[in-house]
Amino acid sequence: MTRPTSSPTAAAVGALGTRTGSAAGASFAQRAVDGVTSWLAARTSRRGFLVRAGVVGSALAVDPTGYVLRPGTAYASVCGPGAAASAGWTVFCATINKGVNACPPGSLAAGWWKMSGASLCGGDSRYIIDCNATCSHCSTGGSRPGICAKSCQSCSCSTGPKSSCDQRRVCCNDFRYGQCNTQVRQVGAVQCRVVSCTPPWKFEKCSTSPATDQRTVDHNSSELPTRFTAITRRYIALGENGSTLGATVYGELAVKGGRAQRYQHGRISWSSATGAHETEGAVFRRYVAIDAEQGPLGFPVAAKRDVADGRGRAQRFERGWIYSGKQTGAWEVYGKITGRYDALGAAGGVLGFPLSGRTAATGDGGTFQVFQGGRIFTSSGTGTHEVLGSIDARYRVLESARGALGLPTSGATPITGTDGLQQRFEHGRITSSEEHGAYATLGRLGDRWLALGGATGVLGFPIRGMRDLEGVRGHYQRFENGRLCSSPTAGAHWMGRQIEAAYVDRGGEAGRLGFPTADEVVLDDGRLQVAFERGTLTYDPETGEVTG
Amino acid sequence: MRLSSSGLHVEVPAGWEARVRRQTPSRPGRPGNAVLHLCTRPMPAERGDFGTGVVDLLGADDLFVSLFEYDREEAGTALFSEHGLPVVRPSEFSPNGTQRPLPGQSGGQWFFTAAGRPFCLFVVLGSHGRRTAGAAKATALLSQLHVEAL
Repeated sequence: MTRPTSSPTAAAVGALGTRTGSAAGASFAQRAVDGVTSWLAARTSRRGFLVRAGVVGSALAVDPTGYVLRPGTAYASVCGPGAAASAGWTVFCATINKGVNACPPGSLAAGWWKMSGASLCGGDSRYIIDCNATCSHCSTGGSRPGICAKSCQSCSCSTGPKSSCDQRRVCCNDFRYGQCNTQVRQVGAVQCRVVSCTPPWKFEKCSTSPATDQRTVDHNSSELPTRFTAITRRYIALGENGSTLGATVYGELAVKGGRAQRYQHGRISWSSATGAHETEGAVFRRYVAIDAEQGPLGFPVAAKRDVADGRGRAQRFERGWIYSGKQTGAWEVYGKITGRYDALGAAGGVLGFPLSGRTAATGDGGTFQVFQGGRIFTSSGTGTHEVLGSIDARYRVLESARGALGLPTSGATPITGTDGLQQRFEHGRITSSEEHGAYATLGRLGDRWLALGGATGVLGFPIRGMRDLEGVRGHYQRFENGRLCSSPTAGAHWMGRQIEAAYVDRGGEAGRLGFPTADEVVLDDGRLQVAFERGTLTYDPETGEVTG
Repeated sequence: MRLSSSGLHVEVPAGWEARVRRQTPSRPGRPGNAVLHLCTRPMPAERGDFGTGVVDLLGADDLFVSLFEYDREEAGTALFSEHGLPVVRPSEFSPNGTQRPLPGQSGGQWFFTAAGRPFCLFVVLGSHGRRTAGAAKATALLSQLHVEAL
């Protein structure tokens, strides 16, 4: 793409000369970008403007004075001098390797050179590493060390793709700089070039003898980062290609609120509020899956760190965390769930590491998240509460928040004087003990059980769930010390275990007796009695017999 | 004129310019390796170790020679397995045999170990068509080159 034909330079410079106020403190490059893009905006379609403005912006950032004051194209400024095939130089790997600034398959680092005072490296040294093709088409080497015959080489001579300003040569130049992989006697032509601000011997199998070629200091590609930024600075500090991030993949992206750079195995995100921080590995993959900077977590605010005695790692973001356990995968925790999770000791606490992201718990905005040790549910109406262990297992059986219990309205609390726990939900509770297991009590039965003292009352802990009755309107539930039965007509009443056994023998609620119409009572003579819709049952403790 | 520096000794033929420098060591405490440049043209002060900035100036009968030394521990590796100064043959030059091929030119590289020191000899000829004569000039120059152990 060539620069527009009339006078963008004059327009841009004119704009530079006239802009004051808020732009006064901006850099020359920024003011030049403003000037040129304004000029372009007035003369082209929106789509054309955006494409051109991006290239112009990069050109001005890389070489502002060069672009504004000298004839040429924005593309040429991005790719630096000698970007045409006729100039003889070799293409950058990023240009032909899907944006990846690394030796492509079928090539290896064969040598490097150094340039000092590189603007793309913040004024420090910049390095170019040649990736030479392998000699894979021949089984035996040629006569002398260095470069193998063309017929042996794994690629053939071409040029960079038309989509890039980097039109340099691919696999044409039979040259070897010689500091890298010297255990390989022969290599093929230079397939492409990798750039770095970190000495090559720190991430490739190279020796340190520094060849120099200062005239290549501004060589670059439109598929490489085109500016030295806070992200670049962080990447260099991490070791660039030798870091766990791997090589850059294309250049920086403008994202809402900041910028981001993709790498083979991660990402660095930057905003003025958070600075530049990397995400990598499983955390990176999850971060990208939930829309990275634009997702619920926002920008990272710190590097990943070990948690839970080294059983995993966690990274903090503006609005939450991503936890990554060794067997659990990486999942985000954010919003009100974060506060509850932290209060319970986070990954080192009873919940352990998350096993899922947020999932809808109900149809009206309630959500939950699964952890190794249980789940946390949250909604605006019920608050944020964990459900753990056997209570959670029972809650799952009862279809969790979509079932009869609804969402939790408290955490689990101990039942005084017992080893049991109970937890309240919107429409009932689950009571748990080691001896009897965990069961829910709901509705009228649940209310009646509570009125009878709950787990520490006459019936004790539930030992079964509530049962609906076939062919009869009503239900019952068994407890440690008896049975509670409920029907719309007879109400909710209990009986002890001795009468319960006889009642069940007689067909229970569906039998001839029907539902109990009153709670079990102690008669004056010490016998126990329950009145039913169609009769009574009486238990004599002295004989152990039930009559009626 | 005889040039001796960094363990390299060469009798510079008339009409040639010679420059030798020590590379700035990449790691503190290491000796700087030598780079010897010889050219049948005056060489600009700013030039690449493998001829950038010089080869653009070559006429058809001109030569540029770079003798680039590597870290001592590379001596004897597969790339540097040849011992002694190489023999430069016309058939070993190629128009694509340079870091940055230029129209008409030709280049060749020879990796070797001499006096326990690993080197690359890089020769650029101004004309591939005149490589027989160019190779002869390079051979004559190499006969005047001596590498000393350090």
